[in-house]
Amino acid sequence: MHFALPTRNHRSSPFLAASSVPRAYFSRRRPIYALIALVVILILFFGRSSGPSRPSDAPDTVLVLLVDRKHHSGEHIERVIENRRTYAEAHGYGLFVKSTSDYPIGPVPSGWSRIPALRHAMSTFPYTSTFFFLDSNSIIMNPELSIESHIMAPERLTKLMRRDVPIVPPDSVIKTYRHVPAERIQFVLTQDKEGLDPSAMIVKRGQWASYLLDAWFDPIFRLYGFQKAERHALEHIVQWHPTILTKLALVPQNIMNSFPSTGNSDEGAYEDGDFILNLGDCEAYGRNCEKEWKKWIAKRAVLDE
Amino acid sequence: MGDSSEAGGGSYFPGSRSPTPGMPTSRAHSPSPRGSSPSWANSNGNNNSRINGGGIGVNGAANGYPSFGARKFLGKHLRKLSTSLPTYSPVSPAFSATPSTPYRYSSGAFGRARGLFLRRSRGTTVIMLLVAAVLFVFTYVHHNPVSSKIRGVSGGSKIVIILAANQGGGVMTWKGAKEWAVERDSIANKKAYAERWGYHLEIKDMSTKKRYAHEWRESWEKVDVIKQTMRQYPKAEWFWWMDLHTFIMEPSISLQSHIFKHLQNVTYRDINVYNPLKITHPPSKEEFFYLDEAALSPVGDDKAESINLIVPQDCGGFNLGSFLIKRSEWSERLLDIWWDPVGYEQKHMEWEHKEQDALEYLYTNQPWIRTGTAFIPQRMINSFPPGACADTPDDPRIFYDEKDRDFVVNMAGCEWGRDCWGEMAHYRQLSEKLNSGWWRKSFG
Repeated sequence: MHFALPTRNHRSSPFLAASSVPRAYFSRRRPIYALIALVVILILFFGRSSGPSRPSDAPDTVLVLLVDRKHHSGEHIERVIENRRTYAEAHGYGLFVKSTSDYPIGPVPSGWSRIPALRHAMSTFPYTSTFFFLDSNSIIMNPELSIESHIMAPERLTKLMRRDVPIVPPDSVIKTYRHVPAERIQFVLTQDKEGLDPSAMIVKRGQWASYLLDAWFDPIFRLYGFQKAERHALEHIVQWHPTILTKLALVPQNIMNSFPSTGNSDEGAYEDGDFILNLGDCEAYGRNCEKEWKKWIAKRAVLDE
Repeated sequence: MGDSSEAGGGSYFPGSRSPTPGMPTSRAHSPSPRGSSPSWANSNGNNNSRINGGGIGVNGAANGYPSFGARKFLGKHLRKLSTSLPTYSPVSPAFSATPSTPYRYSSGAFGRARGLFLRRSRGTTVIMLLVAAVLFVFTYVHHNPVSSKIRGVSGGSKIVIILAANQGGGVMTWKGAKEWAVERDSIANKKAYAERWGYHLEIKDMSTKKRYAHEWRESWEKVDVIKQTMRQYPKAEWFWWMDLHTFIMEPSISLQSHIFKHLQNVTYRDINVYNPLKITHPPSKEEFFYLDEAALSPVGDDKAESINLIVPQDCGGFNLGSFLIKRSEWSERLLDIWWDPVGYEQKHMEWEHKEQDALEYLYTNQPWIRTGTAFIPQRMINSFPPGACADTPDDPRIFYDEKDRDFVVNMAGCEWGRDCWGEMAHYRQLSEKLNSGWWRKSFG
């Protein structure tokens, strides 16, 4: 096309002529130089930003188990650890086993140990992103299920998350958020009919996890004398502090915390194929953890080798 | 569009040096070093080819330089530097010998302005430089509304000063003439400072009121005020909390130059540098073996990015009369956990200084707080007058010193038996005296 005046980008244009960068610099391709420059920039960038690199054998998920040597026999504890180990080995997870008495929690119920234990697992496995705490009275019944595909994958979690349900059933004012995307969830646990149940919980590593665990473990709550100790403390911080509630997801009980059926068709009662069975407070008077464990472990699904 | 006009390589515009019929498009813009035709390149020296750049290089290809690899371009560049730099000058007389092109110096306002720019005399150059210098001084160095606006746009608006006015007012005290005067002075001081540097100033009414349905959170409102201000200024990054009884003594110091530009150097992470509360730091490895490396380190991760809260300490511990908090997820969590009903129920009688004591408690007991907190020497943002910290009257780290030109005075505790109005008036006058003079006011 021809115009009365040359276009702005034409070689005769004064805008170009006065430029200190020759026109040809833009119009010519010089792939080699561009490529070299790009590579150099990338090397500089990534060389600086990546610190110590992640070892290839670092597991992406770690099971955290606290055993109670005061109330359980060594034999029983071995059985519990064996249950976890088979599962962890099948999926390439790490296993972190400690005793409740390992942590200086003060004169409070031993359930509080789970909080420093999670923190400890996080500092022991610095390259692991997902930590699964499972109480020693829980049995992994279906070791086929992986934590990622069964619970944590965002597509899956979106379907599982219970939205807009009261934190403490049946009618607490504070309810789980309706619109939090699954990608933002850092903390997954279940709820029974009395409230939040921290006997099976998944925590993602990060600054938020440190915040959750440190706030939960604060002596003010620990020594306050909540009726159900760490359980009620958790309910308290979840309900009073939106920065905690917003990263939390409640999933249906039978996803990772089924309990033995009592005959009534309760919600959350164990059915064949469920991931985990929680014997609950089997140390209570009139019950026997070891017997119950043996009874249930016989029904456990066996891994195909 | 450029291509389409070039495609007709034979078209002849007034500005082009010579027609190059049949030239392939890709060769039209020759970067050749000897691109200008020898006939006039010789007469004009190198200046021309430099000034005119590739635009006049159209003859290059025709002169037998058909190949223009990258090497050639770079080579040209280097040669140009070595040959033309010493002789080049904007007022070089050689330039006037340039055969003028009809297009470049054609009539019309643009052409004339351009002509002036390119063919200016020594006098014009001096005048233009002077104008530029004056403009620069007026917009960047001198203090006036325009320069404040510019400072605000170029970073100042990322800082918000929160001034807590009317503390305890309404219920606890009745404001008299002196209290009004103190408030007026304090507000005027911050206003002038914020305007000078383009910061935002947010004056918050802290009078005691029953605002909460669930609890009488008497004057535990610092947290809510900060949260509210953060919502009000969604683009701001740093928030500087100041009590009413503070006075900025050196308004010529910007927060950027005073603190933010060298955050790592002016703050300290390890509380043992000055630890009046005797907080055990870092947490003992025997008891807190389960914590991660950063939490057990005395300096956290020691990165400037992880500093979210900057607190000065006085003789009695943390002092929240003048402190800085950054908008971040970390501070969101801190502001959320800072007030908790269980903590409040158990401790509100014991925690006389409310948020301040609560923060000390949180710092001591929740390791994640330590990794995001840094301390700043008190006299950087919070010098005391002689009346405060009466137990350690000789500590050089605490009290305002005229010779050192401390930045801010905080007349902490003046409402308890000291004369706030007298102190405020004293420091206002001192600041005026120290910063008097036309030069200091305009350029300091």
